[in-house]
Amino acid sequence: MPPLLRIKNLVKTFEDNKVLNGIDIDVKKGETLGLFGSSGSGKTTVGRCIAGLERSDSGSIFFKGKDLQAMSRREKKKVRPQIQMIFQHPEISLNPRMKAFDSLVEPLKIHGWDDKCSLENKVEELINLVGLRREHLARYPAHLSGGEIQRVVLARILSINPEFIVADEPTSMLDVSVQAQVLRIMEKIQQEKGVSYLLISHDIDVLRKVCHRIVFLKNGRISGVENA
Amino acid sequence: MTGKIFRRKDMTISILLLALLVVVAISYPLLALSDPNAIDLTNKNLAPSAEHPLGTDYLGRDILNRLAAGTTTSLSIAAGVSAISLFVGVLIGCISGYYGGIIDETLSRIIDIFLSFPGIVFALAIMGFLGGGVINLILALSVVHWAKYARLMRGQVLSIKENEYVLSAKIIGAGDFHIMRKHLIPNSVATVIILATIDIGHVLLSIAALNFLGIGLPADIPEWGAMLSAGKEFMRTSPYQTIFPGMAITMVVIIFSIIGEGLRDIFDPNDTGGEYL
Repeated sequence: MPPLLRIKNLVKTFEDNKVLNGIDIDVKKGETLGLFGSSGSGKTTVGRCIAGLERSDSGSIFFKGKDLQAMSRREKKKVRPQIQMIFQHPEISLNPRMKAFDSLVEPLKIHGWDDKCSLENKVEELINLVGLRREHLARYPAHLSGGEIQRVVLARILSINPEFIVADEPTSMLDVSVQAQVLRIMEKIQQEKGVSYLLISHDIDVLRKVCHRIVFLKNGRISGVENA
Repeated sequence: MTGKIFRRKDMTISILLLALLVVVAISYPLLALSDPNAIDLTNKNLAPSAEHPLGTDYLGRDILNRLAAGTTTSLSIAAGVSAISLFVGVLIGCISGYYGGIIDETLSRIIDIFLSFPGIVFALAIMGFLGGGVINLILALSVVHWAKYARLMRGQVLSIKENEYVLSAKIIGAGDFHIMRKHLIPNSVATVIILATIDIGHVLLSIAALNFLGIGLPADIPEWGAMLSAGKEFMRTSPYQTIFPGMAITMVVIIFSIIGEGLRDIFDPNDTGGEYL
Protein backbone atom coordinates (compact mmCIF):
# COMPACT_ATOMS: atom_id res chain seq x y z
CA MET A 1 0.00 0.00 0.00
CA PRO A 2 1.53 3.36 -1.02
CA PRO A 3 2.14 5.86 1.78
CA LEU A 4 -0.36 8.69 2.32
CA LEU A 5 2.46 11.22 2.33
CA ARG A 6 5.90 10.78 0.80
CA ILE A 7 8.69 13.34 1.02
CA LYS A 8 11.57 12.83 -1.42
CA ASN A 9 14.92 14.56 -1.20
CA LEU A 10 13.53 17.79 0.26
CA VAL A 11 15.97 20.71 0.28
CA LYS A 12 15.24 24.13 1.72
CA THR A 13 17.63 27.05 2.13
CA PHE A 14 17.03 30.33 3.92
CA GLU A 15 19.54 32.81 2.50
CA ASP A 16 22.85 30.95 2.98
CA ASN A 17 21.55 28.56 5.60
CA LYS A 18 20.66 25.09 4.27
CA VAL A 19 17.92 24.11 6.72
CA LEU A 20 16.84 20.89 5.01
CA ASN A 21 19.42 18.87 3.16
CA GLY A 22 17.73 16.00 1.35
CA ILE A 23 14.95 14.68 3.61
CA ASP A 24 13.06 11.47 2.77
CA ILE A 25 10.00 10.58 4.86
CA ASP A 26 6.98 8.29 4.35
CA VAL A 27 3.82 8.47 6.44
CA LYS A 28 1.19 5.72 6.14
CA LYS A 29 -2.54 6.22 6.54
CA GLY A 30 -3.53 6.16 10.21
CA GLU A 31 0.09 6.41 11.34
CA THR A 32 1.62 8.86 13.79
CA LEU A 33 5.14 9.72 12.76
CA GLY A 34 7.27 11.59 15.25
CA LEU A 35 9.85 14.11 14.10
CA PHE A 36 12.49 14.72 16.73
CA GLY A 37 15.30 17.20 16.71
CA SER A 38 16.88 20.03 18.60
CA SER A 39 16.16 23.71 17.87
CA GLY A 40 17.28 24.64 14.37
CA SER A 41 17.36 21.05 13.13
CA GLY A 42 14.72 21.87 10.48
CA LYS A 43 11.73 19.98 11.88
CA THR A 44 9.33 22.96 11.75
CA THR A 45 10.45 23.72 8.18
CA VAL A 46 9.47 20.17 7.16
CA GLY A 47 6.02 20.77 8.66
CA ARG A 48 5.65 24.17 6.98
CA CYS A 49 6.63 22.70 3.59
CA ILE A 50 4.04 19.95 3.95
CA ALA A 51 1.35 22.46 4.96
CA GLY A 52 2.21 24.68 2.00
CA LEU A 53 3.54 27.57 4.05
CA GLU A 54 7.02 27.22 2.54
CA ARG A 55 8.13 26.07 -0.88
CA SER A 56 11.17 23.84 -0.99
CA ASP A 57 14.16 24.61 -3.22
CA SER A 58 14.10 21.09 -4.61
CA GLY A 59 12.61 17.70 -3.86
CA SER A 60 8.98 16.63 -3.84
CA ILE A 61 6.10 16.13 -1.41
CA PHE A 62 3.63 13.53 -2.66
CA PHE A 63 0.19 13.33 -1.08
CA LYS A 64 -1.86 10.34 -2.22
CA GLY A 65 0.66 9.94 -5.02
CA LYS A 66 0.40 13.53 -6.33
CA ASP A 67 3.21 16.05 -6.05
CA LEU A 68 1.83 18.93 -3.95
CA GLN A 69 4.35 21.43 -5.25
CA ALA A 70 3.68 20.64 -8.89
CA MET A 71 -0.10 20.99 -8.64
CA SER A 72 -2.10 23.66 -10.41
CA ARG A 73 -3.82 26.33 -8.30
CA ARG A 74 -7.18 24.62 -8.78
CA GLU A 75 -5.83 21.21 -7.75
CA LYS A 76 -4.14 22.72 -4.71
CA LYS A 77 -7.39 24.34 -3.61
CA LYS A 78 -9.01 20.91 -3.66
CA VAL A 79 -6.22 18.92 -2.02
CA ARG A 80 -4.71 21.42 0.43
CA PRO A 81 -7.57 21.35 3.01
CA GLN A 82 -6.87 17.61 3.47
CA ILE A 83 -3.55 18.56 5.08
CA GLN A 84 -3.91 20.68 8.21
CA MET A 85 -1.54 22.03 10.82
CA ILE A 86 -1.64 22.65 14.58
CA PHE A 87 0.82 25.20 15.89
CA GLN A 88 2.87 25.57 18.99
CA HIS A 89 1.59 28.75 20.61
CA PRO A 90 -2.00 28.58 21.85
CA GLU A 91 -2.09 32.32 22.57
CA ILE A 92 -1.81 33.18 18.85
CA SER A 93 -3.42 30.08 17.39
CA LEU A 94 -6.89 31.65 17.31
CA ASN A 95 -7.91 35.08 16.12
CA PRO A 96 -8.11 37.13 19.36
CA ARG A 97 -11.11 39.06 18.09
CA MET A 98 -13.20 36.03 17.17
CA LYS A 99 -15.19 33.97 19.65
CA ALA A 100 -14.39 30.25 19.75
CA PHE A 101 -17.65 29.49 17.90
CA ASP A 102 -16.75 31.80 15.02
CA SER A 103 -13.24 30.34 14.78
CA LEU A 104 -14.74 26.87 14.76
CA VAL A 105 -17.27 27.50 12.00
CA GLU A 106 -14.91 29.59 9.86
CA PRO A 107 -13.53 26.60 7.88
CA LEU A 108 -17.03 25.23 7.39
CA LYS A 109 -18.28 28.52 6.00
CA ILE A 110 -15.25 28.82 3.73
CA HIS A 111 -16.03 25.36 2.37
CA GLY A 112 -19.64 26.19 1.68
CA TRP A 113 -21.65 25.28 4.77
CA ASP A 114 -24.43 27.86 4.80
CA ASP A 115 -27.25 26.05 6.53
CA LYS A 116 -27.43 27.24 10.15
CA CYS A 117 -29.06 24.05 11.42
CA SER A 118 -26.50 21.67 9.94
CA LEU A 119 -23.76 24.04 11.08
CA GLU A 120 -25.04 23.80 14.66
CA ASN A 121 -25.17 20.00 14.46
CA LYS A 122 -21.65 19.83 13.09
CA VAL A 123 -20.38 22.12 15.86
CA GLU A 124 -22.08 19.93 18.46
CA GLU A 125 -20.41 16.84 16.98
CA LEU A 126 -17.00 18.53 16.91
CA ILE A 127 -17.05 19.84 20.47
CA ASN A 128 -18.09 16.40 21.72
CA LEU A 129 -15.18 14.90 19.82
CA VAL A 130 -12.60 17.16 21.45
CA GLY A 131 -14.25 17.36 24.86
CA LEU A 132 -15.32 21.00 24.88
CA ARG A 133 -18.46 22.34 26.48
CA ARG A 134 -21.04 24.59 24.82
CA GLU A 135 -20.13 27.56 27.05
CA HIS A 136 -16.55 27.52 25.73
CA LEU A 137 -17.85 28.56 22.34
CA ALA A 138 -19.05 31.96 23.53
CA ARG A 139 -15.58 32.88 24.82
CA TYR A 140 -12.75 34.81 23.24
CA PRO A 141 -9.33 33.08 23.19
CA ALA A 142 -8.17 35.31 26.06
CA HIS A 143 -10.81 33.61 28.22
CA LEU A 144 -9.74 30.07 27.30
CA SER A 145 -6.86 28.06 28.75
CA GLY A 146 -4.02 26.79 26.53
CA GLY A 147 -5.51 23.28 26.51
CA GLU A 148 -8.98 24.57 25.62
CA ILE A 149 -7.53 26.64 22.76
CA GLN A 150 -5.71 23.60 21.36
CA ARG A 151 -9.01 21.67 21.51
CA VAL A 152 -10.79 24.46 19.63
CA VAL A 153 -7.94 24.39 17.09
CA LEU A 154 -8.33 20.61 16.75
CA ALA A 155 -12.11 20.88 16.37
CA ARG A 156 -11.66 23.68 13.85
CA ILE A 157 -9.35 21.73 11.58
CA LEU A 158 -11.31 18.48 11.99
CA SER A 159 -14.40 20.27 10.70
CA ILE A 160 -13.10 19.91 7.14
CA ASN A 161 -12.12 16.24 7.57
CA PRO A 162 -8.36 16.38 6.98
CA GLU A 163 -6.52 13.14 6.33
CA PHE A 164 -3.15 14.39 7.45
CA ILE A 165 -2.32 16.70 10.36
CA VAL A 166 1.06 18.31 11.00
CA ALA A 167 1.24 18.96 14.75
CA ASP A 168 4.15 21.30 15.43
CA GLU A 169 4.91 20.99 19.15
CA PRO A 170 1.19 21.17 19.97
CA THR A 171 1.71 20.45 23.66
CA SER A 172 5.03 22.10 24.42
CA MET A 173 3.40 25.21 25.88
CA LEU A 174 0.95 23.23 28.03
CA ASP A 175 1.43 21.81 31.50
CA VAL A 176 1.91 18.06 31.86
CA SER A 177 -1.68 17.06 32.76
CA VAL A 178 -3.13 19.15 29.91
CA GLN A 179 -0.48 17.73 27.54
CA ALA A 180 -1.74 14.24 28.28
CA GLN A 181 -5.36 15.27 27.70
CA VAL A 182 -4.60 16.85 24.31
CA LEU A 183 -2.53 13.84 23.21
CA ARG A 184 -5.34 11.48 24.29
CA ILE A 185 -7.82 13.49 22.23
CA MET A 186 -5.49 13.32 19.23
CA GLU A 187 -5.25 9.53 19.63
CA LYS A 188 -9.03 9.24 19.93
CA ILE A 189 -9.47 11.28 16.75
CA GLN A 190 -7.00 9.03 14.97
CA GLN A 191 -8.91 5.93 16.02
CA GLU A 192 -12.28 7.39 15.00
CA LYS A 193 -11.29 9.24 11.82
CA GLY A 194 -8.18 7.40 10.69
CA VAL A 195 -6.10 10.56 10.30
CA SER A 196 -2.30 10.47 10.08
CA TYR A 197 -0.10 12.76 12.13
CA LEU A 198 3.35 14.20 11.75
CA LEU A 199 4.06 15.04 15.37
CA ILE A 200 6.98 17.45 15.69
CA SER A 201 8.58 17.70 19.11
CA HIS A 202 11.84 18.09 20.96
CA ASP A 203 10.41 15.97 23.79
CA ILE A 204 11.43 12.37 23.03
CA ASP A 205 9.31 10.97 25.88
CA VAL A 206 6.13 12.43 24.40
CA LEU A 207 7.01 11.05 20.98
CA ARG A 208 7.80 7.56 22.31
CA LYS A 209 4.44 7.52 24.08
CA VAL A 210 2.26 8.35 21.09
CA CYS A 211 4.15 7.70 17.83
CA HIS A 212 4.39 4.56 15.73
CA ARG A 213 7.78 5.63 14.36
CA ILE A 214 10.18 8.44 15.17
CA VAL A 215 12.47 10.15 12.68
CA PHE A 216 15.52 11.90 14.13
CA LEU A 217 16.62 15.08 12.44
CA LYS A 218 20.03 16.68 12.84
CA ASN A 219 21.34 19.67 10.89
CA GLY A 220 18.74 19.24 8.17
CA ARG A 221 19.45 15.52 7.64
CA ILE A 222 17.80 12.38 8.94
CA SER A 223 20.14 10.85 11.50
CA GLY A 224 18.03 7.83 12.45
CA VAL A 225 14.62 6.16 12.60
CA GLU A 226 13.15 4.39 15.61
CA ASN A 227 10.14 2.07 15.65
CA ALA A 228 8.10 2.52 18.81
CA MET B 1 -16.16 48.91 25.79
CA THR B 2 -18.84 51.44 26.84
CA GLY B 3 -17.86 51.00 30.48
CA LYS B 4 -14.23 51.70 29.64
CA ILE B 5 -15.10 54.87 27.72
CA PHE B 6 -17.21 56.31 30.50
CA ARG B 7 -14.67 55.46 33.21
CA ARG B 8 -12.53 58.25 31.72
CA LYS B 9 -13.96 61.63 32.64
CA ASP B 10 -12.06 63.58 29.96
CA MET B 11 -13.28 61.19 27.29
CA THR B 12 -16.86 61.31 28.56
CA ILE B 13 -16.88 65.12 28.45
CA SER B 14 -15.27 65.12 24.98
CA ILE B 15 -17.83 62.65 23.64
CA LEU B 16 -20.71 64.68 25.09
CA LEU B 17 -19.33 67.88 23.55
CA LEU B 18 -18.82 66.12 20.23
CA ALA B 19 -22.38 64.76 20.41
CA LEU B 20 -23.60 68.32 21.01
CA LEU B 21 -21.67 69.56 17.97
CA VAL B 22 -23.03 66.72 15.84
CA VAL B 23 -26.58 67.59 16.96
CA VAL B 24 -25.93 71.23 15.99
CA ALA B 25 -24.40 70.14 12.68
CA ILE B 26 -27.34 67.88 11.84
CA SER B 27 -30.16 70.07 13.13
CA TYR B 28 -28.96 73.47 11.92
CA PRO B 29 -29.70 73.00 8.22
CA LEU B 30 -33.06 71.41 9.10
CA LEU B 31 -34.12 74.19 11.43
CA ALA B 32 -32.81 77.00 9.21
CA LEU B 33 -33.51 79.58 11.92
CA SER B 34 -32.07 82.46 9.95
CA ASP B 35 -29.82 82.97 6.98
CA PRO B 36 -26.18 82.88 8.14
CA ASN B 37 -25.28 84.89 5.04
CA ALA B 38 -27.81 87.69 5.69
CA ILE B 39 -25.88 90.96 5.41
CA ASP B 40 -26.78 93.87 7.68
CA LEU B 41 -24.27 96.67 7.13
CA THR B 42 -25.92 98.86 9.78
CA ASN B 43 -24.85 96.34 12.43
CA LYS B 44 -21.34 95.45 11.28
CA ASN B 45 -18.38 94.74 13.61
CA LEU B 46 -20.52 94.70 16.75
CA ALA B 47 -19.24 93.39 20.10
CA PRO B 48 -21.20 90.57 21.83
CA SER B 49 -24.60 91.72 23.05
CA ALA B 50 -27.96 90.22 24.00
CA GLU B 51 -29.10 90.42 20.38
CA HIS B 52 -25.83 89.02 18.95
CA PRO B 53 -24.29 86.84 21.73
CA LEU B 54 -20.95 86.52 19.88
CA GLY B 55 -21.13 89.84 17.98
CA THR B 56 -21.29 90.43 14.23
CA ASP B 57 -18.71 90.34 11.44
CA TYR B 58 -17.58 92.99 8.94
CA LEU B 59 -20.79 92.46 6.92
CA GLY B 60 -23.08 92.57 9.94
CA ARG B 61 -23.68 88.79 9.91
CA ASP B 62 -24.35 87.13 13.27
CA ILE B 63 -21.19 85.25 14.35
CA LEU B 64 -23.05 82.69 16.50
CA ASN B 65 -25.38 81.92 13.61
CA ARG B 66 -22.44 81.50 11.22
CA LEU B 67 -20.50 79.39 13.72
CA ALA B 68 -23.49 77.05 14.11
CA ALA B 69 -23.87 76.85 10.32
CA GLY B 70 -20.11 76.33 9.99
CA THR B 71 -20.30 73.31 12.31
CA THR B 72 -22.12 71.40 9.57
CA THR B 73 -19.53 72.32 6.93
CA SER B 74 -16.42 71.84 9.06
CA LEU B 75 -17.47 68.53 10.62
CA SER B 76 -18.82 67.15 7.33
CA ILE B 77 -15.57 67.93 5.52
CA ALA B 78 -13.46 66.54 8.39
CA ALA B 79 -15.58 63.36 8.52
CA GLY B 80 -15.44 62.99 4.73
CA VAL B 81 -11.67 63.41 4.60
CA SER B 82 -11.12 61.00 7.48
CA ALA B 83 -13.45 58.37 6.05
CA ILE B 84 -11.95 58.46 2.53
CA SER B 85 -8.32 58.59 3.64
CA LEU B 86 -8.88 55.91 6.27
CA PHE B 87 -10.56 53.57 3.76
CA VAL B 88 -7.89 54.06 1.10
CA GLY B 89 -5.02 53.96 3.60
CA VAL B 90 -6.24 50.78 5.31
CA LEU B 91 -6.84 49.04 1.98
CA ILE B 92 -3.51 49.99 0.38
CA GLY B 93 -1.54 49.36 3.59
CA CYS B 94 -3.16 45.95 4.08
CA ILE B 95 -2.53 44.86 0.48
CA SER B 96 1.05 46.11 0.63
CA GLY B 97 1.86 44.39 3.93
CA TYR B 98 0.06 41.15 3.13
CA TYR B 99 1.37 40.42 -0.34
CA GLY B 100 4.91 41.72 0.15
CA GLY B 101 7.40 41.42 -2.74
CA ILE B 102 6.98 43.57 -5.81
CA ILE B 103 3.47 44.70 -4.81
CA ASP B 104 4.79 45.95 -1.47
CA GLU B 105 7.79 47.61 -3.11
CA THR B 106 5.59 49.44 -5.62
CA LEU B 107 2.96 50.55 -3.12
CA SER B 108 5.58 51.56 -0.56
CA ARG B 109 7.30 53.82 -3.10
CA ILE B 110 3.94 55.41 -3.97
CA ILE B 111 3.29 55.97 -0.25
CA ASP B 112 6.77 57.49 0.10
CA ILE B 113 6.09 59.88 -2.77
CA PHE B 114 2.85 61.07 -1.16
CA LEU B 115 4.51 61.42 2.24
CA SER B 116 7.45 63.36 0.83
CA PHE B 117 5.34 66.43 -0.01
CA PRO B 118 4.53 68.90 2.77
CA GLY B 119 0.77 68.32 3.35
CA ILE B 120 -0.54 71.84 3.08
CA VAL B 121 1.58 72.67 0.00
CA PHE B 122 0.37 69.48 -1.67
CA ALA B 123 -3.26 70.32 -0.82
CA LEU B 124 -2.73 73.85 -2.17
CA ALA B 125 -1.44 72.45 -5.45
CA ILE B 126 -4.37 70.03 -5.76
CA MET B 127 -6.90 72.76 -4.92
CA GLY B 128 -5.21 75.01 -7.47
CA PHE B 129 -5.69 72.27 -10.05
CA LEU B 130 -9.22 71.19 -9.06
CA GLY B 131 -10.63 74.56 -7.97
CA GLY B 132 -12.59 75.44 -4.80
CA GLY B 133 -15.68 73.76 -3.33
CA VAL B 134 -16.55 71.24 -0.65
CA ILE B 135 -16.02 68.09 -2.74
CA ASN B 136 -12.69 69.28 -4.12
CA LEU B 137 -11.54 70.26 -0.65
CA ILE B 138 -12.42 66.77 0.65
CA LEU B 139 -10.61 65.14 -2.28
CA ALA B 140 -7.51 67.34 -1.90
CA LEU B 141 -7.19 66.69 1.83
CA SER B 142 -7.88 62.95 1.38
CA VAL B 143 -5.04 62.73 -1.16
CA VAL B 144 -2.78 64.38 1.41
CA HIS B 145 -3.83 62.22 4.36
CA TRP B 146 -4.25 58.61 3.13
CA ALA B 147 -0.54 57.81 2.84
CA LYS B 148 0.27 57.98 6.56
CA TYR B 149 -2.59 55.59 7.35
CA ALA B 150 -1.34 53.25 4.64
CA ARG B 151 2.19 53.33 6.08
CA LEU B 152 0.92 52.58 9.59
CA MET B 153 -1.46 49.87 8.40
CA ARG B 154 1.30 48.17 6.40
CA GLY B 155 3.49 48.00 9.51
CA GLN B 156 0.64 46.58 11.58
CA VAL B 157 -0.13 43.92 8.97
CA LEU B 158 3.55 42.97 8.70
CA SER B 159 3.67 42.44 12.44
CA ILE B 160 0.70 40.03 12.53
CA LYS B 161 0.64 38.29 9.16
CA GLU B 162 2.90 35.47 10.38
CA ASN B 163 0.73 34.88 13.46
CA GLU B 164 -0.51 31.34 13.65
CA TYR B 165 -4.20 32.19 13.25
CA VAL B 166 -3.41 33.87 9.92
CA LEU B 167 -1.32 30.89 8.74
CA SER B 168 -4.06 28.56 9.93
CA ALA B 169 -6.63 30.49 7.88
CA LYS B 170 -4.40 30.09 4.81
CA ILE B 171 -4.10 26.35 5.41
CA ILE B 172 -7.84 25.81 5.84
CA GLY B 173 -8.28 27.33 2.39
CA ALA B 174 -9.31 30.92 3.12
CA GLY B 175 -8.79 33.31 0.21
CA ASP B 176 -6.70 36.44 0.43
CA PHE B 177 -9.74 38.72 0.66
CA HIS B 178 -11.19 36.64 3.51
CA ILE B 179 -7.88 36.69 5.40
CA MET B 180 -7.60 40.46 5.05
CA ARG B 181 -11.24 41.11 5.97
CA LYS B 182 -11.58 38.68 8.87
CA HIS B 183 -8.09 38.46 10.34
CA LEU B 184 -5.70 41.19 9.28
CA ILE B 185 -7.88 44.30 9.25
CA PRO B 186 -9.78 43.65 12.52
CA ASN B 187 -6.51 42.92 14.34
CA SER B 188 -4.53 45.85 13.01
CA VAL B 189 -6.97 48.65 12.26
CA ALA B 190 -7.34 49.91 15.85
CA THR B 191 -4.07 51.85 15.79
CA VAL B 192 -4.97 53.42 12.46
CA ILE B 193 -8.42 54.44 13.74
CA ILE B 194 -6.78 56.06 16.75
CA LEU B 195 -4.43 58.03 14.50
CA ALA B 196 -7.36 59.04 12.28
CA THR B 197 -9.33 60.26 15.30
CA ILE B 198 -6.44 62.38 16.49
CA ASP B 199 -5.94 63.50 12.89
CA ILE B 200 -9.48 64.90 12.55
CA GLY B 201 -8.18 67.89 14.49
CA HIS B 202 -5.37 68.28 11.97
CA VAL B 203 -7.84 67.99 9.10
CA LEU B 204 -9.87 70.82 10.61
CA LEU B 205 -6.72 72.90 10.89
CA SER B 206 -5.88 72.12 7.25
CA ILE B 207 -9.37 73.21 6.16
CA ALA B 208 -8.93 76.37 8.21
CA ALA B 209 -5.47 76.96 6.74
CA LEU B 210 -6.69 76.54 3.14
CA ASN B 211 -9.60 78.87 3.77
CA PHE B 212 -7.28 81.27 5.56
CA LEU B 213 -5.19 81.32 2.38
CA GLY B 214 -8.34 81.95 0.37
CA ILE B 215 -8.44 78.76 -1.71
CA GLY B 216 -10.83 76.61 0.24
CA LEU B 217 -14.53 77.23 0.06
CA PRO B 218 -16.60 79.91 -1.68
CA ALA B 219 -17.45 82.91 0.53
CA ASP B 220 -21.15 82.01 0.78
CA ILE B 221 -20.43 78.72 2.61
CA PRO B 222 -19.98 79.44 6.31
CA GLU B 223 -16.94 77.59 7.61
CA TRP B 224 -14.82 78.18 10.67
CA GLY B 225 -11.50 78.54 8.83
CA ALA B 226 -13.04 80.91 6.31
CA MET B 227 -14.51 82.99 9.15
CA LEU B 228 -11.09 83.14 10.76
CA SER B 229 -9.56 84.21 7.46
CA ALA B 230 -12.16 86.89 6.82
CA GLY B 231 -11.86 88.27 10.33
CA LYS B 232 -8.07 88.66 10.28
CA GLU B 233 -8.30 92.16 8.80
CA PHE B 234 -10.37 93.31 11.78
CA MET B 235 -8.21 91.77 14.51
CA ARG B 236 -7.58 95.10 16.20
CA THR B 237 -10.98 96.72 15.91
CA SER B 238 -13.23 93.67 16.20
CA PRO B 239 -11.26 90.67 17.52
CA TYR B 240 -14.43 88.57 18.12
CA GLN B 241 -14.51 87.72 14.41
CA THR B 242 -11.33 85.68 14.83
CA ILE B 243 -11.49 84.72 18.51
CA PHE B 244 -14.74 82.73 18.37
CA PRO B 245 -14.04 80.72 15.19
CA GLY B 246 -10.52 80.14 16.53
CA MET B 247 -11.95 78.88 19.81
CA ALA B 248 -14.34 76.56 17.98
CA ILE B 249 -11.49 75.05 15.93
CA THR B 250 -9.28 74.69 19.01
CA MET B 251 -12.10 73.06 20.97
CA VAL B 252 -12.81 70.45 18.26
CA VAL B 253 -9.10 69.71 17.83
CA ILE B 254 -8.82 69.13 21.60
CA ILE B 255 -12.00 67.01 21.66
CA PHE B 256 -10.70 64.69 18.94
CA SER B 257 -7.24 64.51 20.49
CA ILE B 258 -8.72 63.42 23.83
CA ILE B 259 -11.01 60.87 22.15
CA GLY B 260 -8.05 59.55 20.14
CA GLU B 261 -5.88 59.23 23.23
CA GLY B 262 -8.74 57.52 25.06
CA LEU B 263 -9.23 55.04 22.22
CA ARG B 264 -5.52 54.26 22.33
CA ASP B 265 -5.89 53.23 25.97
CA ILE B 266 -9.08 51.28 25.31
CA PHE B 267 -7.64 49.35 22.35
CA ASP B 268 -4.47 48.56 24.32
CA PRO B 269 -4.47 44.75 24.50
CA ASN B 270 -2.75 44.90 27.89
CA ASP B 271 -5.75 46.74 29.29
CA THR B 272 -8.52 44.57 27.94
CA GLY B 273 -8.85 42.23 30.86
CA GLY B 274 -9.69 39.61 28.29
CA GLU B 275 -12.43 41.73 26.71
CA TYR B 276 -11.90 42.44 23.05
CA LEU B 277 -13.72 45.24 21.36
